[in-house]
Amino acid sequence: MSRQPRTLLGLFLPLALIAVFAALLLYSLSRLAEIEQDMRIKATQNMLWTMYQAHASALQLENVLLKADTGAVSPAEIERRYNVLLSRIALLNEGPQRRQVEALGFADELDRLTAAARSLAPMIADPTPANIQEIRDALHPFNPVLGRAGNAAMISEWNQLGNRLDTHRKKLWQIIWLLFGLMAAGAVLSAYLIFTLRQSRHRTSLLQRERRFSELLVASSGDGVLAADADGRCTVWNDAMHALFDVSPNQARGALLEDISGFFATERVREGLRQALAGAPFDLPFLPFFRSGEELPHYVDLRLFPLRDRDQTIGIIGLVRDVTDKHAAQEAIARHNERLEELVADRTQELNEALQQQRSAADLYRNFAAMVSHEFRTPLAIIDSALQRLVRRADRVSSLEITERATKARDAIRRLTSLVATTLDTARLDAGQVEVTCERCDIADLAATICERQRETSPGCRIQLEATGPAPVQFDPTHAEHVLSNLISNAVKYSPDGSPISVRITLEGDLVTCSVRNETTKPLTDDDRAKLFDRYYRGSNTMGLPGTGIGLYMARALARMQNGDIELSDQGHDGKVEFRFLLPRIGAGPTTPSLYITPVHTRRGLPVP
Amino acid sequence: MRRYAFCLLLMFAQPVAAEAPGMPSAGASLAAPTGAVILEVEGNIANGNGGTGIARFDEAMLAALPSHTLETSTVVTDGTQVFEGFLMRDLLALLGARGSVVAATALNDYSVEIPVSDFARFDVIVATTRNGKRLEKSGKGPLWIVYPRDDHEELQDIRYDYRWVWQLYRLDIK
Repeated sequence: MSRQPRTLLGLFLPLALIAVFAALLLYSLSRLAEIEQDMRIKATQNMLWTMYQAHASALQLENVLLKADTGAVSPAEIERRYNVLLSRIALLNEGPQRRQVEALGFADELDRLTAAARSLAPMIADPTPANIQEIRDALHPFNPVLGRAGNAAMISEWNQLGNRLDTHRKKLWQIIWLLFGLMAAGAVLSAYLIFTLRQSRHRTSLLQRERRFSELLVASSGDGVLAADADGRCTVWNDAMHALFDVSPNQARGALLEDISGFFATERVREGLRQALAGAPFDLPFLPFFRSGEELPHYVDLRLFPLRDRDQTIGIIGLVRDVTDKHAAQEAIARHNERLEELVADRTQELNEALQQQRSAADLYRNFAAMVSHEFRTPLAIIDSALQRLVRRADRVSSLEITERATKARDAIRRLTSLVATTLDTARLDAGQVEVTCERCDIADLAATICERQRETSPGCRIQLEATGPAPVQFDPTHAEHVLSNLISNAVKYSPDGSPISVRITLEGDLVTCSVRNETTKPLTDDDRAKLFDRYYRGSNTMGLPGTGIGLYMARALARMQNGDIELSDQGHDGKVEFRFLLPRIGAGPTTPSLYITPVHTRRGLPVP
Repeated sequence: MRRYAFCLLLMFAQPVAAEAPGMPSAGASLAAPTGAVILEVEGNIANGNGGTGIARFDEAMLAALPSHTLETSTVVTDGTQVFEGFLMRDLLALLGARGSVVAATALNDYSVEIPVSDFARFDVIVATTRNGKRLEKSGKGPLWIVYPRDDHEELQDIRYDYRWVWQLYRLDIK
């Protein structure tokens, strides 16, 4: 049997039984009421007694009249008996009794007796023996008529009684059967009740078991479990919640969640509760939660679910998990990751730097090799060609020619020596073996000396020195001389012959600037500008001119060691090149600042970019 | 019954104050009948007029008792009837009767014992007229004990119906 019909049967069977029960009971009661109504005996049904009384009163009157012959009876007694007879006749003639008499078929005879009785009155008033005899004669018909009437009344009453008893018996039997029906219906109803009671007990015990199990489940859950009704009043609060919030289930049940703990009054949790009550599950991960007396927060995951009954949300269920350890672990992992990222960034930077260094080194060596192959081979080729010439023409060579060839060879050797010395200088610089001893000197004097010497070396050059006055600066005279000589000799070397070279010393703010400007036939490319100060780099305009690519590198390194610097002026696209030797001016500040942030000797081994 | 006895006691203590209008004083012996006697009372009575424990009444004496009217149906007639007469308890009070049962006897010697409590519980009258007409000796008269049958359902019972004695002429207080 499927569930639906069983439910219907369970509903309608008892109702039908109760209806049958009530119908049977009502019918039985109505039957009983009928009998009760019928049980009342009316005096009119007592016709036998009435007839007997009338008969007796007639006989008594006759009897009195018999005694009256002997004079033993007073006229008053005769009258009394007569009145009694009249009274009885009158009773028989009154409504209910008269109808009974008519039913018995004695109406005519009663009328005759009534008339006879009333006609006796004058004779009763005058009881002479003749009258008494006449009265006695008149009374003769009373005896047989009333006797037969009484007989008929008896038979009629007994018939009526028998019929009534029959009717009552029939009704009683009906009631008995109805009672059997009632008993049967009652028995079925009782059986059904017992059956449903047993079922109900069974279900109740099952429910209780399930409930105990659920309670055990909720209680033994490591996670906090709570439930609240639609008003936000707590209905379930398990032991884990007790441990977490320090509020016992007895205290919590029935109280508003917001009153139990301030945690439930926070904006996010209230929003979550609202959402859950509106029917949407809500997750709130990693909520901070401060327990009383503890400074560090706990962290909990709060998951809220609507509690639904058919289509209505009647409350919420909340699961609370203490995730403080998990939170701490996640934070530790995050911190670790951050550190790892930093480490990776550092390592990457170091690797990039190392790679850069490696590349620079490779460039350095390539440039060095190029410089050596070029700069060393040329003088060697000059020496070789001079010596070959001397060998080939050994027999006819003049001393003048020997001197000329030897001078050329010696020049070449000197250049080679100079090359080696410069390379050694660089090596010393790299090794940090170059010392700087700054003292107060006048850069203008130094510049004048160098210009003069340059004019002597290159008589064709036009060097103009402009100085506004003495420019005392703190520097190492030897190194400053090296720097300025390099700049001025470069200017002479790379400018067209006879073109003017300007050396100008100016004081600008905190700086003393010594700028060297020359004209050029081939302007510097951007690549040149970027790499001009690199070691062994030679510009695009140096083709055919001897050089090592070390000069500017050394000059800048030395300038920076004296807290100064060398820069290439931006102006240079109009066929002029200007280098500036910058030195900090004395008295510009409490201490002499370095123009270059990291002095070269502290960055030894690293090429200046 | 007890209440009734208490009333009697009051009458003996204050004969003048307790007397009903037109009623002879209790305690004094009853006046002798001047007309034809229509009712005899015997038995346990305090006031009599015909020797020890006997009181005889003529029509005038009974008419002097407070009149009481009663409308009721009867089992021997059709429709309701209006009866007038005196309350049985007034008669018993007049006689200073003491007893629990009154045996009422009719002219034809029909006799029935009526508990005195009936007279306290119900306004039982001894009727002298029916529908304004005197009760005839040749009918139910001259006296007929009538119960207020329509006023009380328990009186609609044959065990009360037989107490309706007509052609009453003697009461015996026991």
